[in-house]
Amino acid sequence: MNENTQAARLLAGPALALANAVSAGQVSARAVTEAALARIAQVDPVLNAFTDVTSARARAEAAAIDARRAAGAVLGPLAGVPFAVKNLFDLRDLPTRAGSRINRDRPPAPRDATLVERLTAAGAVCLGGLNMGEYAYDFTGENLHDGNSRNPHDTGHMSGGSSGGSGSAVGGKLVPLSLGSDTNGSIRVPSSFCGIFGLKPTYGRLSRARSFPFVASLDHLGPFARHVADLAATYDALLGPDPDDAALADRPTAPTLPGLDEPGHLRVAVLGGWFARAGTPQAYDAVARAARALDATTIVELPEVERARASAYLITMAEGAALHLDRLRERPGEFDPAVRERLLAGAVLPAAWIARAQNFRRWFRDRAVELFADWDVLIAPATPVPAPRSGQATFVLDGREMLVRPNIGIYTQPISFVGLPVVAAPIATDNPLPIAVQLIAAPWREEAALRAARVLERAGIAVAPEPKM
Amino acid sequence: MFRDRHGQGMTGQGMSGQGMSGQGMSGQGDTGAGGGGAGSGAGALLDAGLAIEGLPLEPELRPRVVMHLATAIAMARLVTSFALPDDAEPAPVYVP
Repeated sequence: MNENTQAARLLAGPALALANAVSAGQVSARAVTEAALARIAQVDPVLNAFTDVTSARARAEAAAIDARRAAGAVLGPLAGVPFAVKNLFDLRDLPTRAGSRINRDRPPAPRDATLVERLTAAGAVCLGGLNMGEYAYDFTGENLHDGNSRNPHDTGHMSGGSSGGSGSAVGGKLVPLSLGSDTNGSIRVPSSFCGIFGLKPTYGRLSRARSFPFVASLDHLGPFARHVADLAATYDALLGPDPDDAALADRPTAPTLPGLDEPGHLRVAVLGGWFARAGTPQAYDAVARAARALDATTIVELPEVERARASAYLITMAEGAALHLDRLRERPGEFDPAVRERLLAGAVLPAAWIARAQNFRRWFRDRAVELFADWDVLIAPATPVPAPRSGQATFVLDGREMLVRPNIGIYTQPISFVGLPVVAAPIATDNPLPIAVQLIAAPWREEAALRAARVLERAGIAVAPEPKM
Repeated sequence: MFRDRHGQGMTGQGMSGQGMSGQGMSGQGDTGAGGGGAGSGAGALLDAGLAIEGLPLEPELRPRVVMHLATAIAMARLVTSFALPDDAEPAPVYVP
């Protein structure tokens, strides 16, 4: 097998196997990078996952890795692994567009986002910026300015948003790893629709420095991958203190990869109530299969989930509007109207409502923590449906016609509201369009959610399906 | 029940019809004054707020913004109708 063939084969497999091969000198980072660039050139015209392909940067990073290996240096845990990031992460020398037209006028970023720097320090190679819904206010993966990112399992369907390109790029095997953001579900929804693993960590766990914000109270950043060990290794590489993010918590961090296959028993239950209503049979079949594999026989409830979702909805509208107030005033015609109309409504919400919603957040957080006294992981659907068709406006849930856009996130929004860590795990079904479950853990227990995902992966229950291209 | 100006009769915030105030598919458009639903007063609130903040809005887009505001009003009724204790304070920098 020549090196190019081997690089293409490794690119299609687990990131950690690729990194091991690069570290062992079995394949060069250069060859892997060229394979990824060729794959992007071949497939991205269909998927539209990338908005910027940083090929010169990637080639330079790959050459540096090969040079370090030739000099006898020990390479990082993600040596030579190609990755790309939602285009709200700063990439040096590129304007951070955050899915918008307006932000393209920003000066090029002088420095990478912290999480990009961490992946680069771990040896990963940055291939570019990824498509997303405008200013992250989106669950569909559709973008008026850049075109829609498409679902790798059926290009007529949504990739999910707002990290649509991040889901499409990993689901379509353009790169083994990507980064995204999640305010109300924007990592978990694309994971579900594109059939990959995604991790939304605990609020305050990973630095958001030099990423374009949306809702400061609710914004999280996190990784996507096709394999649980890759997800854990990426998360581990992202950990660390950072004075540039005021919300970053001063908590001890520990790598999750070494304990991923620990035999310790996980106490797992299924979330009922709100989460057991309105989803399609495929969503509940996925939950049932995950529950069986994790010995979850008890159904538990979080109280007042609907109020939690409503509170997240209000905080999102108001903080999003506050962020964009000047742009709404000065450049109104350059927004996607579907985004602008919600931000304008958010601009006039009475402040007392937002304060009340923040107070309720503390109350709901206490109820969640109480529940986790008895359980390590809770299972819920990630989305009520697999990916709707692109442009689809309504769907039928629970026998009622609903608007698609706001209802895709009905199961994710109450969970991110209180910052709980979640792994979205794709569950194999007969439907060619995948769907994921949420594996929700107590605050700061990402390792429990990752271990549960690993159990499902080893049982053959959770798997990232092969793309159709 | 209020209808939005597109006549679609849906705001799309809901997931089931049981006990989900303001969450259903029924329209909650701008009705101006009067009425007791979530849309009541939304247009007036919007017009006053946008004027004070100096935010432009084209007439043709206004019904959509009113629809979103009516949804938010329904959400707020749900949130503010919950009896929180007086000592239920938020965390200034939220730590779960």
